[in-house]
Amino acid sequence: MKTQSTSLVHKINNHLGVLLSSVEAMEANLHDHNYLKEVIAEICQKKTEYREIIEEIKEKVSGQEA
Amino acid sequence: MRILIVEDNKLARITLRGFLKSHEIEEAQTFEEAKRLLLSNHYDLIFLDLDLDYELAGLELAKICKRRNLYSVILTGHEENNIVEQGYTSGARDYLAKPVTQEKVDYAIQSYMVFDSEKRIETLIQENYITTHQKTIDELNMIKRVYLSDKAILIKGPTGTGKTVVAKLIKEACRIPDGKFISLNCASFADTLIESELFGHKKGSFTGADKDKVGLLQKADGGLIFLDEIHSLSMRAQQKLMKAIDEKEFYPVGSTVPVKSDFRIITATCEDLTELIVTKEFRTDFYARISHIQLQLYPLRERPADILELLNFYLGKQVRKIVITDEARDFLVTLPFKNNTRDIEALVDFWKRNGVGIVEKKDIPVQFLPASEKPKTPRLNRNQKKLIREVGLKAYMEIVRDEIILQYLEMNNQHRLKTAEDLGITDRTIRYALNRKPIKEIQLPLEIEHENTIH
Repeated sequence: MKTQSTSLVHKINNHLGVLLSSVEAMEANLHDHNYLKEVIAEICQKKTEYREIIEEIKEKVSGQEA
Repeated sequence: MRILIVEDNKLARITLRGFLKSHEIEEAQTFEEAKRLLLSNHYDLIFLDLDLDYELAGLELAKICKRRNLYSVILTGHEENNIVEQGYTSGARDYLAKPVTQEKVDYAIQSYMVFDSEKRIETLIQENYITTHQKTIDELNMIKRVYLSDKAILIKGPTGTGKTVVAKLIKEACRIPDGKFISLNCASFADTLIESELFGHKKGSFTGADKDKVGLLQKADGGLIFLDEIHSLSMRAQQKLMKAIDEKEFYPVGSTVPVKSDFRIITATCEDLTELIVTKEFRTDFYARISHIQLQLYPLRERPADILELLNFYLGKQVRKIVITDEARDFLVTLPFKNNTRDIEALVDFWKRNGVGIVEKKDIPVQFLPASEKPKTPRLNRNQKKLIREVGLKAYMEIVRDEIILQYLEMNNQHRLKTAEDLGITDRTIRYALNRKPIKEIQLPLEIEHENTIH
C-alpha cells in the first residue's frame, strides 16, 4: 500500500502545487469550456483537503510566531 | 504524438492533459493499469508520477519503458538526490519536479523531438552507409548534431566513399522534399556553362540562350543544393557563388534583376582544397564559406573490415547465391580498391556476369590487384620507342588497344559481345577499333595468353 507522506511540504506540493498548475492549465484553455468545467469540478471535490492544509499552515505559522 | 500520462491524482492528470492538448492522450492511474498499457501499446512519450499504488512505483514503470525503448519522463514531487539518481538509472530520459507548468511540459516534448530525430537519423545512417569503422561512424553521427543548422557542409573523401550518399542522408535528416534537393556535379560542366546552370540566364544573354533559364540556386530555394566535385569550379564561379551564399541573392547571367533564394549548401570533393588554395586554384574566402562543418569519409584501405561488409551487402542483393572462399576473403581485405565502394560493386557485378559461384583468389580480376601482383609490362624495343616518338603516346596506346581487341576477336571467333565482356569494354569500342584505318603496324608490347587473363 502507498505510504501517504504526511509532511506539510509534501501536502503543499501535492495539493496546492497541483492546484496552481491547474490554474495555469485553465488559463491555457480558456476557450475550452468543457475542460474548464472538468478542472473546476475536480477542484471543488478537493475543497476540504485544501481547507485542512491551510489550517495546518496557520497552526504552524502561529506556533512559530508565538 | 501519442502520450501516456501515469498519475494517481485526478486533478494532476487533467492538468497535464490541458498542457498537451494537441496530442493523443491516454491516462492510467494505477501501477497495474499503466503496466498493462505500456506492455500492449506504443507510446511516443510517457509522463510518470513516482508514487502510485505504492511509493516509487513509477521507477518500475521507467524500467519497463527502458526495456521497450520508450521515452519516459518522471514528473514528481520527490526532489531528493538519491531518488533523482534512481529515476535516471531506471531509464527515465528526463526528471522534472512538480508543480507541472507549460514550460516544463514543452521542455519534455522538445527533448523527445530531439531524441526521436536522432534515433531516426541513426537508423537512416545504418540503413544507407555500410561501415563498422568507428572514425567513419563518428563522422556520420555529426549529421545528428548539424541537421538543424543552416551552416554549409563540406564532405571530403576519395572517390567511391559515398559522398553523394551522405549528402542524401543529410537531405533526409533535414526532411527536405525530393524536389528541393538539387544536385550538381561541377565537373560535368564547362566553365562557361556552370554559371548558367547555377544562376540561370536571361534570353539572349549569350549565343544559344534562346529562352530564360531558372538557375539551380533558385530551384533550391527553401531546400538544399549539393555541389559535387566543388574543386573543379572556376575561380570566377567561386566568387559569384560566394556572394550568393553570403547574400542569398544573385544575378542570373545577363540579368540586372537580382533573384532571392534561401538555400543551404553542401559541397563535396575528393581533392585536398587547402592544397589547391596554396596553388591558387581555389579561393580561401570561398573555402571559408563552404567549410563551416566538415565531414571526412575514409577510403577502404583505412577500413579493411568494411570490404567484407560491403561484399556481403552487394552479394546479398544478388538473386543467385555467390560464396567466397576463406583464402579469397583473406586476400580481398588486403586489396587497395582505389575506387572504394564502386570497385566492390564492380567486383560483385563481374562475378555475376561471369557466372562465378564460388569465388577463389583467381576470380579476382587483374585491375583490382595491387601493383606488385599485376603483370609487368615488358621493356619496349627500339621500333616501339621509335613509333611512340612518331605518333605520340596517346595514338600509340590506341594502336595497342585496337591490336588487343583484334587479337581477342580472333580468339573468340569474331564474337563481339564475348570480346567486349572479356575486355570489359563496350561493343561500340570494338566497332570503332574495326573501322579505324591502321596507322602503323606494331608489335604488341604485351604477350596475350587468353587463359591467363580475366576468368
